Parts: sequence; structure tokens; C-alpha cells
Amino acid sequence: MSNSKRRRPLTRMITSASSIVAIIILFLAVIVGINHPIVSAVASGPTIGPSPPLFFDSPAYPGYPTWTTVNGQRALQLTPVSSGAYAGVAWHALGYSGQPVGVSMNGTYTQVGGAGLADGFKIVMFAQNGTGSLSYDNNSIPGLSGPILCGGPSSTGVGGSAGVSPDSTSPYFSLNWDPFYTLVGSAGQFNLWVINPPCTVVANPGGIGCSIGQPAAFDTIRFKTFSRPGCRI
Amino acid sequence: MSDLTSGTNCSFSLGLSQYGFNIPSPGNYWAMIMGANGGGYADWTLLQAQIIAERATTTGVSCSGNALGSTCTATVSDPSPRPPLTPTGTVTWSSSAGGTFKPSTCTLSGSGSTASCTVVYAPSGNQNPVTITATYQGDSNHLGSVGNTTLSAPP
Repeated sequence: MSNSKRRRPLTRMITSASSIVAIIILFLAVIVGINHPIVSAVASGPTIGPSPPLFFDSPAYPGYPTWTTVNGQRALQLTPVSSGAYAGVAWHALGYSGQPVGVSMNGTYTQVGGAGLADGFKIVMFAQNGTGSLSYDNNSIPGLSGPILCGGPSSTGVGGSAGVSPDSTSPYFSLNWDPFYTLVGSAGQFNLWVINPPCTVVANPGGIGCSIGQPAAFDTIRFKTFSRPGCRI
Repeated sequence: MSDLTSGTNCSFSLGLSQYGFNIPSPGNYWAMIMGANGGGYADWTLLQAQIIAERATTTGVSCSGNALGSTCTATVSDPSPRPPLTPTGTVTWSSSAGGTFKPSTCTLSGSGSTASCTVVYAPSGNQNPVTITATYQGDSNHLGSVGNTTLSAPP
């Protein structure tokens, strides 16, 4: 069944006028201080704090991510109901000093179509010097114009555009919750990618971990990834 | 469509070093969250996200007395070089020989980067030696940790 999963080739982004407008609107929203309830940092000391969120889109669907409302709550719609779509949001916390760090998110979906659910959410975790050493596949960040597409499918071939990851100056990992694994009978719903700089996949086991099955629309999916000393997540 | 039982939980851990990953040098911490549709179709939507930076802790155990009965203190420390943040929360106790701890869970108190709490241990048998283990559960800022010590019976 996994062979029937269509995958859209990842091509370099051609920035369109509409994407520029969308990005400018989003970025201006950050600059002028509009409240962004979806991203925050829990500070365990006064030297750790968040940057504004940085958004990136995909070549085929430059209108995403986009703000929306779910159950009366402001939310960030990352993808449309379309194959080959991907998008994301990134931010940083200053003052990392080697302590355990986690990234926690709540997500959902409200519509589904076609082959069902895939490829879910992916959490990417970096630790690196400087604040400007990531590259994104849009031009919303001055001096960091992309496009950089790093990654690819997991070792099992399941992961789709969730394999897309940014360029980086230090090693990092990403963990993807992919509900499509349930549809192909896998006991695990996760993909792991370990990336060496700038963009080399050194490991990409797939179908690992455990499963929550197929959540229904409007279910809240709580996805937490923790990195602890000793290189365990 | 849905086969999800409400409240379904799934957690697992991975040793990243087996995949060639080592924690990079300290600096800034970045997080990125993506939604993706390879061949499936859903409007993946982010409701909330955060970076959680926890501090590591160490737990030390010291006891007065011996394997026949003892008063034990757990000291939880935050070794972070950043401004001190006192560990809070509770410590649970266990013994290799069974027995009772009063209270069974103690609440930390302290200041600076260190906090402690004390319990009284009474064994249920004559095992010798006895390992006393204190488990700090962690709090919203601190990761949990475990410490132990060994008690011997008097000669």
C-alpha cells in the first residue's frame, strides 16, 4: 500500500507575487507585535527566551502557513488538503547551555480527503551558535533566502514531504509523527532523521516508536519531543 | 475513519548516539514544526507550540542510622551555571529491603540551587545491606533525578 502513495517531487521554489504578499503579511504581523499565541518558550532562566516565529512555505502551496480559527481559537494552518503540501514555523530560544530541551505542540486537522492522513507533524530540533544560521525555503528572512531542501523519505519510504528539512550549520534531528503508518500496518508511527551539516542524511529509520492510530478531525494531537543529555529523545 | 481511543497515549525513547548524533555545542536552540502531506490529505493545523528548557538535577541521599532504622535526607541540586532556580516538588522513596518511609513522599524545601527533605525509614526484615533510593519527580523547570545510598546493619 505504501507504493501507492503518490509523492510530489520537491522542486526549487519559484517565488510568486502571491507568496511574497502572504509572507510579508505574516512577517509584518510578527514585527508589529500582533499576539502569537501558538509559539512561546517556557523559560527556565532569565537568559532563555523566544524569537518571533519564522514561517516557511512550500513551492507548490506558497499561501501556507496561514492563520485560521479552530474551535474559536487562533491557529496556524500549515497545509491545505492537498498532496505534496508542506510548510512550517520555526523560532529559537536564546541561551541554550546543554540542558534538556523539549518542543511541545498541540495540533489537529479539520478536513481530510483522498488517501487519508499523511504525513502529520514533524518536530525539528537544533542547537547551534548564532541566530541566523538556518536557511529556509522561502525568502521571508533577509539574508537567508533559500531554497534549501534537505532530507527525503524515511528508510521505509513513508514520510513524503515530511522529509524536507532546512539547511543547518550543526547536526540536528527531526522526529515525524506520520499516521500513514497505521494504514500500512506498521506498529510504529514515527520517522527519525539525523542530519549532518549542511544537508546530509546520516540516519532515517522509519516506522519506529508506537501508535495512536488514526485521530479524527478536531482531535487534539499532543506531540512532545524531548532531547536529554546522553543523546536520548 | 477514526480508530483513536480518547486519550490514547504513545511514548518511546531513542538513543540518538546509535544514529551518529551528538549534541552540538551550546548556543541558541531552534525548533521547527512542520506539517506535511506526501500522498495523504489533511489540513494539518498547529494550535499551540512551545520550547521547554528543563534543567538537569542531581539527587544525593544521606542517612543517619543503619539498616535497622534510619533517618534519610534527599538533597536535590540544580548544577546549572545560570542564575539559581530552586528545585521544587516531591521525592519518593524506596528500599531494596522493603519497609516503610514516613512520610512516603516528602516535599522539598530550600533556597538557591538546592532543596532537601527528610524521611524516617523502618525496615521490614533483616536484609543487609539495604539500598535506599530517592527519586525526584522534577518540576516545570527541572528534570527528575535519582540518588541512592547503602545502609549496613551494625556489627
